[in-house]
Amino acid sequence: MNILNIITGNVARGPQTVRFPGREAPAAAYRGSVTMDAAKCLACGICDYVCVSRAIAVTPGAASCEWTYDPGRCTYCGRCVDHCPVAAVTQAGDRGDSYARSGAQRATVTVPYPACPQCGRPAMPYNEAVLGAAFGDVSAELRERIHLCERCRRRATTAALKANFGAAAETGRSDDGR
Amino acid sequence: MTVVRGLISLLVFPGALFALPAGWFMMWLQRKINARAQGRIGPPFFQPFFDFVKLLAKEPVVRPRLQGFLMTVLPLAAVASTLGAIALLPVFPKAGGFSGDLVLLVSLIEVGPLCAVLGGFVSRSLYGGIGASREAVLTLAYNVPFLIALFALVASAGSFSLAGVALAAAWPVRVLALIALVACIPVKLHLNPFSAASAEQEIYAGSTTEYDGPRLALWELAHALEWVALTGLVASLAFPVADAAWPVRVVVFVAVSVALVVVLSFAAASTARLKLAQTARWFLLCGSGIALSALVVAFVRL
Ligand code: SF4
Ligand code: SF4
Repeated sequence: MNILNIITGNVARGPQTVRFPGREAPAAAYRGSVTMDAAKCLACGICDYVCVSRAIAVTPGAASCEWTYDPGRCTYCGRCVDHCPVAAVTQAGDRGDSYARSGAQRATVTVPYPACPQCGRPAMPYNEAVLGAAFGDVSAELRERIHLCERCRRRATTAALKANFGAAAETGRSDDGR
Repeated sequence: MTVVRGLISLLVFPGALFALPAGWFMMWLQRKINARAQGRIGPPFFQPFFDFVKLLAKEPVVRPRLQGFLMTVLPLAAVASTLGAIALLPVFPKAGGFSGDLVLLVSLIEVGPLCAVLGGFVSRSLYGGIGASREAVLTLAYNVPFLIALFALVASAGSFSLAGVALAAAWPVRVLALIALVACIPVKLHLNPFSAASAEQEIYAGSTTEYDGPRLALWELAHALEWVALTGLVASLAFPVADAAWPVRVVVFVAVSVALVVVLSFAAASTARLKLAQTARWFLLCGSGIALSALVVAFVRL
């Protein structure tokens, strides 16, 4: 009987597998648990939006933004990594620990809002690459305004608008005063 | 059987204190033999124990109240009844038992599969339902030779007590009946070739598919105890060694049980799973044939 030959062969040859920790390390492109770099994050919430299993939650606060990740819910699909505009999200190359209670491994990263250079109130984080992608050529004026908080930026924009209208009114005037 | 002796049988030997580690050991041995036959390294020695502890520590899935209750009570009943069956095993046949304990043993052994059938249906999983219906069909099928074989032993010994059967059954009857009984063990333990009820490649874990955490731990426990109960039943009937000192009887009981585990494991590793209808037909024709011949021998000799 062939099966007996196979079994005796297997027993004689000894096991061909290795005990758990001795096995091969995961591949380089292994999609393990997700980590986030708070220094890069824009608090845009795209990762929260694209995560199908709701493992990521981005909760904006007054002075900072809470970025929460629960590996217990994660399917390690990598969508958050693909969609983050500033590559703040990465996936570790290991399998992570086991856990007994749901939410046991939930971790929160706080993304602080930078202070507005004019009034000191919290402003949104910004990133050079995103700025370039959104506006093409970044003028010095825009670069200055991007650091401001929402209120100061609105003021600066209004002031610039007024100045522009004033200049246009000056240049449009005819010689005879009409 | 005095109360103290009954308690010792239930809690110490061959009951809980012996049966738990023994059951885990048997499960480990079966998995190890299966692994080695397949060229794998197999689980470490304490793996069944680790699995049990790990499952116990897991947070159970929240279920509707009645369903959660049934899904806890059914595996608990399986554990309790199997433990009771182990306590009745005639390891020390001269020490007694009581008239009719064989009937009690058979019914206690049957509570486990019955709970598995009900447990599969209450889990409201498709796979659980299929596993449960298969389990039900197989339970009906193997019980024909199982009960005929036991009846042959009873007829031969002229007694409904396990001790009486272990001491007095005629050897030709006993050998035939034991062959039929051993053939029934793989169905109860879901081993190849009679493992259609938990065919993991098609219906995952069968009736326990939907179970998780502590509830699954209870099923695992019941399964471990079933190993001890069934191999122990055969061991105590095959080698009663009634006149030896008690350490000898214990050693013989354990050794025969373990030898049976080895035989069953190798049989499981070297066979393929039969279909449900094939399994049922095998038990109704071949299994019952062997058991019936035991019965015929028993009556002819009377
Ligand atoms: S890997 Fe997929 S499931 Fe996990 S957090 Fe990212 S998007 Fe969500
Ligand atoms: S991690 Fe990336 S996608 Fe998520 S909020 Fe921060 S910048 Fe946006």
